[in-house]
Amino acid sequence: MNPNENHEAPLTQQIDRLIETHHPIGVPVADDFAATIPQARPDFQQQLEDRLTAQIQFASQGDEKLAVRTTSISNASRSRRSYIPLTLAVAMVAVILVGSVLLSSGGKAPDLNLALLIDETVTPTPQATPVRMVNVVIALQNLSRGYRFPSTIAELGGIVGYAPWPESAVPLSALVQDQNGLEQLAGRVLRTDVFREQIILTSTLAADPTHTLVPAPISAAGLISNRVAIALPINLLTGMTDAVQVGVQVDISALVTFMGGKNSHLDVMLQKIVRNARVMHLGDYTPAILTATSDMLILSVLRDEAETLAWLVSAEIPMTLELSADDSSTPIVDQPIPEWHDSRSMVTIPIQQIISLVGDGVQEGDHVGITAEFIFANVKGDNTLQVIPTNVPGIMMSTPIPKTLTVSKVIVEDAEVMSINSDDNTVTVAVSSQEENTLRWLLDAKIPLALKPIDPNYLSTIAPPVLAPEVTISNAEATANPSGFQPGLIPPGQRGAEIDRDLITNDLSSFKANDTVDIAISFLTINKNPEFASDPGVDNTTMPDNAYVATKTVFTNVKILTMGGIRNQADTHLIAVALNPEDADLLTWILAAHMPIALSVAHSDANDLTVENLADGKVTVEIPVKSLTSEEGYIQASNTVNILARMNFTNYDPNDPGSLEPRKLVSQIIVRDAEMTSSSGTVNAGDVMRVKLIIAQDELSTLEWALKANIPLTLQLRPK
Amino acid sequence: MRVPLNPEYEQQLIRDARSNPDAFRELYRHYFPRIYAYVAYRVGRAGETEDLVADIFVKVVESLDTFEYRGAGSFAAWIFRITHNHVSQFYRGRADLLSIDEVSDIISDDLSPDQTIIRKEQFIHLRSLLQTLSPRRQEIIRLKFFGELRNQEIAAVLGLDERTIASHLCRGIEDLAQRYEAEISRNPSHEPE
Repeated sequence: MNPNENHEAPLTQQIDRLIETHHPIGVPVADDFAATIPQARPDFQQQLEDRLTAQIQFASQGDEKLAVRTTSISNASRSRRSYIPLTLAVAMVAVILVGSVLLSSGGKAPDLNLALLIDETVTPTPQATPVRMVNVVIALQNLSRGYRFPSTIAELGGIVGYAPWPESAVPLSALVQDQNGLEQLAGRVLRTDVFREQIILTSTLAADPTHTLVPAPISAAGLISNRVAIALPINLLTGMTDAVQVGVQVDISALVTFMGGKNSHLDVMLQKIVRNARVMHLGDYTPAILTATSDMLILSVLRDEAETLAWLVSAEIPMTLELSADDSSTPIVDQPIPEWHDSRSMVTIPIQQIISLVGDGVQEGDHVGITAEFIFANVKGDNTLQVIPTNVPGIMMSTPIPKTLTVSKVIVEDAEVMSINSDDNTVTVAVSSQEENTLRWLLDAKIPLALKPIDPNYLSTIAPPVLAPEVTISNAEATANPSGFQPGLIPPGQRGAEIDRDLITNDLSSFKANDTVDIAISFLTINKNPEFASDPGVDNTTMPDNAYVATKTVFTNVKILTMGGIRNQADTHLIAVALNPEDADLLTWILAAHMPIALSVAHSDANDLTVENLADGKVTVEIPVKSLTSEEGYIQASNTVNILARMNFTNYDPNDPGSLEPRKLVSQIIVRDAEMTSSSGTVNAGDVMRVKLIIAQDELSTLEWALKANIPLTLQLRPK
Repeated sequence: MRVPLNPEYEQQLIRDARSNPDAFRELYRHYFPRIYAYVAYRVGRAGETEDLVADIFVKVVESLDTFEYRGAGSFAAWIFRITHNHVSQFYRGRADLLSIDEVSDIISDDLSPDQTIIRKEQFIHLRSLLQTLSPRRQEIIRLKFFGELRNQEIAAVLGLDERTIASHLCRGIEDLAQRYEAEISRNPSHEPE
């Protein structure tokens, strides 16, 4: 019970009454607030209403929202801009009228009185403009350099279109309707940026693509130091592949999904993987260089870009190629690595975008590495996105996303933390100008970033985690372990780590030694209005109401060595796992920061269910089912059911490691409208039975994962 | 206060507004004055208010498809959340002084020109007085008096508990009342007509 409630209730009611009736309540400041409500200019309200309803009208007719968005303007200066075409047209008509008056007066300046007379006697009926108009091709939206127009006229709609233009003002190289301008555009490529409503000229188009393939021998001398050559199969590239030439610079993008939002939904966007890669060779390789015989494109790229590209090629993920926006004829010059503090740029990162919480650990002056977590979506040959299994929000389990689709990329190797601003919840770091560009793009894209301290002394300020020594089989066997270490426990080349069970927030009863698990961390994301950061009324010791915990898998396929310690396997407070040395370093930091972690069955170690593929993206699968949702019922082959997974949800405040709240059991539908094909009989709550179901292919992965994770499944009968 | 829309009718309007300009028009006319008043109290100048309000409604139109109706008040909370976030993102309060010519008109039935000016002066004064409170209390009072939201809706906009809203609202008004009365006693020109 809030002790202030009795005191507050009457005033709250009074305020509500004041707002409802506008009758003064005797509290001067409140009464005056109610008497000073600003109102808009009626014409502004009306204009905005007209524009918005027009936008809805256009949208409902399938028009581009883009076209209307530009008219969503309000102030006078913007209004002036929007009337520029109209003003020009009026001015043009005025010029013509004045010209005709001049002509009719034999070239003499018109008598002012005559002009006034004309003005007074002119009929108010609008006159048709005498200007002869020609339909020319204009852009209906902003188009970037390198854009390839669709190859059919139907697809060009909404991208380009005809617009009337004064004949005398039509540029010579404009595409006009009389000469089938749109047809000439099909399949062509833009050489320059074109803005909305700009006339498209033949000079802005690249040469016919059939003439642009210029095979040339690859030359090792063409490779600049610090760059490597990488060959890409052209069949993985879409976009501008037939419009590039040796020597030009290209960008390559792949479709990337990333998680975001309160429900951890997946968003998709095109991510630039490579910028300004120089094309070194086009066409077949000669066998003397490589054995590949298919059409290849050889690019000179940065070493880390090559790694990402190699990964994408191995995963056969299609990529899009386009001409670089800042292409230049001059070769790329190696940028010397700048001296520290020399030409560093400051980038401010909102804390809410940092998945590794920095407030408690990283301090001003620290040096950190910045990593971005991407999830790459595969795209099939028919350009359909491979559906990524449903993400289960808010649970302390690994996200069932295929392992091969995740990429963690180091964006900045060494950034200095210049300031941590608690007023607006930001961290400012100093990075190189090249890193700044990437970092700003990631910030715009709201892609989660991780800050990892690179200063080894940094951890000294935090309670050290319990870590096993770096031991391999060879030296383990050679060295007797006085404290009970079991030789050969840790696989060669890996490091053992002991995790304090207090930091593990999920149920461990189903795990045992030698299981392979994924390790996820939970982190706090705050939808925080920066203005409130300095609010003295906010109690910072509790979790803000508008915060939520997200979960991210950071280590996959980690082997549980023992369900105890490495030295003392009977220690029930610990779990020992084996990781590669780099991951062990990161786990060290995570444990030191007291971040909660969750173990889950490794996704790659999923059940081998018997699955029959059916047509229309469906599969048949047989699964055990725990119980009916609520009441007992009769399940028969003709039922349609949903499958619910019941999972634990734990709330957590990283600012207060002791704040683990009681777990809340939630049910999440993981399969919708499955058709049951076999099994019948009365099912009592708690019974275990097997049923055969037809489900969507897309849902199979999540179902497999849930089964492997021993998550109780529930059938929910659907009404017929 | 405007007559609240019947929840079922409002739900129907929201559904239709995605493709029916008339349905949207009705929603717009219901929410526009509240959004405008809220933004105007937040930013002060009429020109900036119009810019922001136009952007907000464009965003509302573009996001209508994503709105999920979750009962009475959910649309008001949604639209004010967009408003609150947009203004927070693009407006940082400045300490410069407003002139009467820069501020919006004040709603009134039959005020004389002199009274209108006095009301505008009062608006400027109250707005600066409001800025002496913590940002959270300012925001809650603005959403209450000018957004005309219920406490439950304000809680949804700000992601806070309803009781927290009531507490901040009352304490904020009490704080302001004390300062306001002290000022009026020192300078009676601030007293309303």
